Amino acid sequence: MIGGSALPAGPAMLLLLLCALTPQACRDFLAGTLPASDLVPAYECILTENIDLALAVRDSVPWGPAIPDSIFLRYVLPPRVSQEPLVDWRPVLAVTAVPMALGAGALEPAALAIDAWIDSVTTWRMTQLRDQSPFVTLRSGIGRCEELTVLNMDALRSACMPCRQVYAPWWSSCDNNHAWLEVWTSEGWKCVDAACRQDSLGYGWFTDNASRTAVVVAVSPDSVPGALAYRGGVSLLDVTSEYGPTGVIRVPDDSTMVAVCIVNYGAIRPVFMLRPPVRLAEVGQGVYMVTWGWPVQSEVLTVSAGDTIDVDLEHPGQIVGHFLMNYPQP
Amino acid sequence: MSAALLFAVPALTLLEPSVVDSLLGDTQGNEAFWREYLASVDGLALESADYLLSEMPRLDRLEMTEAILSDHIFGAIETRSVYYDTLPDSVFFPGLVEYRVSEEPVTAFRAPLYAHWHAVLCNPDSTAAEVAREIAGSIGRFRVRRPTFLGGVAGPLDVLAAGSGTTDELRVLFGASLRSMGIAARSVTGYFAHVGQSGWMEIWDGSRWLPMPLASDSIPDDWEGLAFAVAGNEERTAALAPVGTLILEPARMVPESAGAAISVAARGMWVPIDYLEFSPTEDCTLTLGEGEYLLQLTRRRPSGAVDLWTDLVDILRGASVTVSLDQLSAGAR
Repeated sequence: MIGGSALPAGPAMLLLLLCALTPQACRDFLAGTLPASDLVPAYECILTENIDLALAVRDSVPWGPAIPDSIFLRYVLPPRVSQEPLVDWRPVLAVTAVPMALGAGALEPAALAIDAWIDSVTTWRMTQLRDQSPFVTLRSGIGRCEELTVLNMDALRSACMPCRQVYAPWWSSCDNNHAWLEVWTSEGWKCVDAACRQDSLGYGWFTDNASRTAVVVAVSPDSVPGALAYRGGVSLLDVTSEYGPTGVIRVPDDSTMVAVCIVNYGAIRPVFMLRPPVRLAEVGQGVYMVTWGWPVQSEVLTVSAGDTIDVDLEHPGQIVGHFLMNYPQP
Repeated sequence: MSAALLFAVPALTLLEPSVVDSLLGDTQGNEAFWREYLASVDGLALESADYLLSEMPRLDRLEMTEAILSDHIFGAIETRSVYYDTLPDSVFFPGLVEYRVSEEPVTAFRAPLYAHWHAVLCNPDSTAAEVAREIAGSIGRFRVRRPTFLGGVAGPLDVLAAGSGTTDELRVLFGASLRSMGIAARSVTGYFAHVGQSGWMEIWDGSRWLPMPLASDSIPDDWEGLAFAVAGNEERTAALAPVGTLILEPARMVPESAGAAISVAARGMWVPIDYLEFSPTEDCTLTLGEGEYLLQLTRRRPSGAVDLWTDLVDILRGASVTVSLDQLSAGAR
């Protein structure tokens, strides 16, 4: 299990471990992790109802007691997934999701039942840049992958099933990118697509792409030690090795910010940054261009499974020429 | 109706019913509101409603309410002549009726922002440019905060109440404030060497679009390093900085497998200018600011691997550079 077993960081999180999980503890966690724009009086009712209902459903489902508090706080309690508007989805979705989940009996079949429900009422379609609310997705039946993921995660969380957003910033072996979700189970995190009916957890149409892509990250709404990045109030956990063979790219100094890039939509694009103090990352097999400094320096690296490749900051390569950005076959 | 009156009434530029049907057919759940609203207004208000309907993203059509739509349409109509003797429709609709600056939520903001700035400004009866500068100075004192992963772009009234915002959110407040006062404004996206992607607002000063960056936009002095700027579909690079021309001769590739990009160096990486849309398999001429660019031509193989050909191109003021993408892919350049 990656990231999920890590303890909350910081004094406030440490305090949580010493207390029973009360509504106040939940409120403190949200106060420390939600953006300031959510913590205004206008949203007080939504947050209070969200906490009360999340705790009540945890007490009513068979898998509730097995969920560690740290997992519940990070992956069941949050009232938002991404940049969507904050709305009171939990009581609305629970009306359908909780009976459906209880009928399925156990967490994994319950997650599949909810995934099938979302699949039956939604269709993927490219929409606009601004993330729509889960209610808009449900009402219109249309959303892009991130919006479908938000709705699916909200439905799962309304029935107390821990889940987290996962995404590949850019695919290596084709243009475009994708977002999906993972469900926490007693066997670890298992992926599922946001709106494709599946027979079991742990695979999706995207897993071939994911097995040969540069990096796959999972989002945790707080600071997690060892994360690939802590940016904008969330940790991005490197879960690439859960999807395919990996090697390591390492920066051999303490201060240089390095962009790890691949080619997508005709351009060299960064898939992530190695910002100090993060000095290494697990990445999928294949060819990378790494860049740094001013004027911009670059080097082409080939990563195979099990390799640890150091960026040679002292001897950059040429940026001009022909490069074959190759990736393993699925 | 007299001939004189006929002449005085401008011809309405309304959407064809089939276009309205098509747009509203994709507005599930809010179609009835739109039909009722369009039937309830006429003249310039109907033109404005049609303009917004055709321009706004689908999500805005889904979320739009009568109060919000009327705030923008009638707010724009009522303030159209505050700072301008005449304001052409080509500026009025995108500059004053338009309500969106970035990815902020759809809200009604004109009346409270109009009241706020009339209470705060020293001389709201001055010119559009002077009022815009005073508002920019006031917002320049707001605290700039870093973007967060969770939560979207805040609306202008929330930014005003918080006294802080990301650079994007401060620009949202600025654009909304200008329009609320009756100053036509539009947002511009730009790319700079060293800086990367940035943005700023332009205002209509009565005869031309005038750039009006906020301090938080971090625009380099004298637009140094400007590579490319665009407002809507209008390129603005040449209006702001010395430019040259890049002529690209096409590559002989299957279009579906070919890609190309032009990037500018910034913050330790090559930042692609994604607003420069062109096909590597067709002739094209691009206007770019002075400076060095990384030209990239790619071909995606069936296996998923990518051939990447790159070249550095110097763009000089007033000069043209021709690059054959075919020769680039053959290694002859």
